[in-house]
Amino acid sequence: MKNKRSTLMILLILLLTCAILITSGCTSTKGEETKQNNTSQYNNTTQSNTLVLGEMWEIKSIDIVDGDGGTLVCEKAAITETLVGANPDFSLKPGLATSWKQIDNNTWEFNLKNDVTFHDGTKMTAKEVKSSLENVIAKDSRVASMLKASSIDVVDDYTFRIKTSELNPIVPGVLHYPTTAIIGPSSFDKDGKYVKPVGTGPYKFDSFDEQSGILTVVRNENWWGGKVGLDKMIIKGIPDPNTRAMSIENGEVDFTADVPYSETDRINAIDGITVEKYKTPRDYKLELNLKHSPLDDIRVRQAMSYAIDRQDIAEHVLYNVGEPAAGPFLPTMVWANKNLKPYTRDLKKADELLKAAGWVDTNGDGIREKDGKPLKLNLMTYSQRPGLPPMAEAIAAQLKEAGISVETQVQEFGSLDERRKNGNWDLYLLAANVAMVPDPDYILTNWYMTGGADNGPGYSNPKVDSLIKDARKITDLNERYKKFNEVEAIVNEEQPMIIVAYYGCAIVKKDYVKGYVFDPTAHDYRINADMYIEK
Amino acid sequence: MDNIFADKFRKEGLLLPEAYGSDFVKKVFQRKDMLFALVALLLFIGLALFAPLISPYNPNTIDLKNKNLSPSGEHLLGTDYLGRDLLSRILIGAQTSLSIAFGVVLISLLFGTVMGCAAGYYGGIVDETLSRVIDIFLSFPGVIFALTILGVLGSGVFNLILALSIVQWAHYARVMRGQVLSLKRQEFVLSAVTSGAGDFYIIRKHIVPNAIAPVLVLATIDLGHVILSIATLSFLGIGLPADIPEWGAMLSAGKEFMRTAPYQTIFPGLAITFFVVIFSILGDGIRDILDPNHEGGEIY
Amino acid sequence: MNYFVKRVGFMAITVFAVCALTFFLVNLIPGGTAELIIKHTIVGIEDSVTKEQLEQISSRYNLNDPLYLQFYTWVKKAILTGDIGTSYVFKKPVLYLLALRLPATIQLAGASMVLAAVAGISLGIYSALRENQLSDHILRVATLFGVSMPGFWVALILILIFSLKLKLVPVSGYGNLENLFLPAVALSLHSVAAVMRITRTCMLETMGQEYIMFAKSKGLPMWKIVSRHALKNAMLPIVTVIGFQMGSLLGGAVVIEKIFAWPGIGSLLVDSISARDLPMIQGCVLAIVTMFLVVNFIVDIIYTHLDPRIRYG
Repeated sequence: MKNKRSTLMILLILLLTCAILITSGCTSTKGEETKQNNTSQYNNTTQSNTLVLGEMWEIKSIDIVDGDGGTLVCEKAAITETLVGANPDFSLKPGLATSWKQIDNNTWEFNLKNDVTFHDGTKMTAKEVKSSLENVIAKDSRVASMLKASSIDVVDDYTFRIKTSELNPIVPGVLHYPTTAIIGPSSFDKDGKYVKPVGTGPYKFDSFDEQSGILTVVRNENWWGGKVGLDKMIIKGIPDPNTRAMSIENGEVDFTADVPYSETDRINAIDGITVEKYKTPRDYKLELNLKHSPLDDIRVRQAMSYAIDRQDIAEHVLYNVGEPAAGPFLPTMVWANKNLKPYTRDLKKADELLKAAGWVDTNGDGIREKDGKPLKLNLMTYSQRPGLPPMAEAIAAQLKEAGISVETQVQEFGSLDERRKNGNWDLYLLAANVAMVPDPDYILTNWYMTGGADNGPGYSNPKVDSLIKDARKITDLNERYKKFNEVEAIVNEEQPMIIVAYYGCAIVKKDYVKGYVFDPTAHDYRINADMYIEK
Repeated sequence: MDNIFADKFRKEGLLLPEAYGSDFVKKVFQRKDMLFALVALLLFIGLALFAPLISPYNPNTIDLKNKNLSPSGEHLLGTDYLGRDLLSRILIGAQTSLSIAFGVVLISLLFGTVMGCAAGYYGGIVDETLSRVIDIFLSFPGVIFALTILGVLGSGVFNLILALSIVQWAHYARVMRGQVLSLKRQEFVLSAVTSGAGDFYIIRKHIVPNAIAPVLVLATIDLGHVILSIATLSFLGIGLPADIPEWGAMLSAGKEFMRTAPYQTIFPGLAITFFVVIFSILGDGIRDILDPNHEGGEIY
Repeated sequence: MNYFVKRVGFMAITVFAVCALTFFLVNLIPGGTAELIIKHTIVGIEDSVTKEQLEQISSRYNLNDPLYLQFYTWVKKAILTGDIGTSYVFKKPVLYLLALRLPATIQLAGASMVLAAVAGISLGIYSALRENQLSDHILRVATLFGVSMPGFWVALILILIFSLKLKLVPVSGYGNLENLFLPAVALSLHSVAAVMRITRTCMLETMGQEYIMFAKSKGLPMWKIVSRHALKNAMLPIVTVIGFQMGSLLGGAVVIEKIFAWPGIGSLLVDSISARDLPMIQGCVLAIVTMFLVVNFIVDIIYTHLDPRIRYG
């Protein structure tokens, strides 16, 4: 009997331990202040002007050189600002820098605003800008490789120069990249270790709870740009699109982006919530491996482009979060070739082209053959972007109607990269950014130039190469863009990669969130200072 | 851990060879729940076998304009997010799901039984080594383990079977080892050993037939669990290629449409649930019949 | 005592072997480690990686060394200094990150265990007392179906009901008890069912015993019979079952943490695997396996303590 009694005791002790652990976890991890926030988030009856933001990535770090940190701190938390801004047509406009010019082949000169202070009250001068940029160049190899800066020289308090190791027309564009946003010296402790972002933007860093990944920012009363709309913003990472949708529906967040595409119309119909669909600078594109036999034939590539129903895909796969695409650049971009029209579906034309290339269905199985070999291709893609796997399926089905058999494979990134390197693939569907920096040179070089970093198809056209090289030497923007337009026209004709659709972004917000303006140049979405809450 | 199990089984003495045969069948027929489960299982297998004949549409035909449809006369269970007929996909999906489930259980059962027999029968250093290996495989969270293996192998039906088998076999090995350990001390085995019978003969004739009951019970219940594992893996992002109809993958793909087109999750979800229920009832029933005194608690 | 020393030794060996297995398994996954780290930390996943970046990252994390050497360095450092590495993605010590994330998982698993114990035992008793009555049947059918549904589906249905329809608890989040409710319920379902079954069976067994009959005939109130006599005798198997649920709870936590954006190590581990964040993967595996082994060890000790028939040889 003694044993039985101790059983109960042990069970009781175990339960108690668990209970203590749980309650301690609840109280110790959260300060009193954040706790209040949480209740208000949920009940959503805040009187104050506080916005709860459902961010689409898990917030891992607030260091601007860490992964998504730069984008988060600059575009979503609006703590920092970049030297160069951009208009909705992607043309550049002054940011913290008022003007800039290329003085010689290897030197860019920038003039700074003279009335900007950091959140800690110190004035922003060329000296701070120099050390902020040098920090990024040292720690972020991508910025370093885009900027190609050999030195940064302070000319006077509000002027500095960037010397580049080679002719680099995209320097101002790179300085629009959120990672290059300017942070003050007090962002670092005495040992030079980064502690928190001290920027110049409309919102000040308040706290970051590393455990729950919640970033809180408060209004910067002394912002140089004038009045700031919100008192406070609580940014929490909710990586799952479904959960984001349910969170805004349940009133736990006031603003979020990219709920499942299929849910956009349903959520928009809910009282008090609006869904806005925009285009973002990213393309759903289908790369064709030009080293594989049928795809080296321009007629086959064009036929495939005619066989794909872009309108159907935009409507039924993307639920109109995205649009049919023509050239790689959004038609709203200032440098885009506006004459290009998306290929519209035309199975007859596709049939003619394929027949001309020698591909005919001789045995009546619905798949074309040439010299007894069936027209079979594989298509690989990945699942990190929700539109891709269903789009791959839809493309495969549409190509099949044109007599091309396509086998789709959704893969992990590691094995995908390996296959790309081995060349063991025919088609690759991906969603690629087209305005990492607002300048066409970067994308056209990487995508279409012989040996370009993202030239997966292995496309090589001497005409394209020379056009891009020529454009680099032209400083007049309109003249430059003319060359780029020509490149766009050529690749649209030759279709080394089929641009299927422009990527969309669904902004979901409560109706009481006012003053929001979508910024297409942002990397996901940008919180603007004018946003406020009116209940 | 293994000591406990060995002792537990020794104590319970799961040695009921006489329960095999006609008596067993009679007992099955006496239990209403098992009868129900058996009929349902046969129905499932029948549907899977004749799926290509009875499914109204090609399960992979995409019809974007008719996506996310609710059940209607034309599509009895509605269509999925690419306009594929759900009824056809669930019917053909039964083939995939059933073959994966049986494949995994068969492979892990065979391998696990062999390993468990070796460990339990030979004892000593063989047992020590194998027990450690079994422990290692058991202490790894199964989902994570399968996820990593699939990352190495890549997705696909065969790789899925392989990965889940690698995760599962240790459970069989552990149970088998416990059984063999207790059997080894039974008189009929000892007398066989003294009479000079070969190891293989003893294992085949005396050990396996007497030890297999709890392993079979585990296998039956596992058949359902494999289907659940596939669903979980699909949810975590490594499942099967999208064009292969499989219940778990369908359920996972449909979760985005739970609000707008709930049938895409309801039907595959129900199929999985019924399947798991059937095998739980069968497994539990078999255990009840073979070992009326077990302590596991009734499933139903 | 000798047995315990041996057990702890075996536990250490198991932990080491699991770490080694993980290390080599993860390295077998196709794709270059350096490349994937860069894609997950510096450029986007679709963007191309330059040679300089590859070299920089490879040399920073010694990725050019042969695998066995990388593993050896890791083990040596772990044993000598207790430092199990720095996460490639978070760029912070793994131990620090584990200390941040572990409480959330323990909290979730602990709450689920408490739920499993409380709900499971009470439902089991109820079901046993009402044996073969309608409520017993309903309860058993309900749990049977509950455990047969895929976990993430149940979790999503729970959110739809409790958060969106009834507006009782938030959809996701971390920190408050109301945040804990749904994830804990969703995670505990399987365990509740298991505990309920074993309780019911054991209760039925003991309720049929003579001394219970005797107590009944003496006119003792039912709750006294249950708590003083029947439950006590049923405790041994119940405790064992609860203990062994730990493994399934840790496995299930991966999915539940993902759905509810719960900052535990389960979801951290899954993310780390796709980002090829080796030190973080190792750290998570180390933590999970150790927890699992320790809990099993404790269950074993309790079991031996409770059942004098078991003696270790």
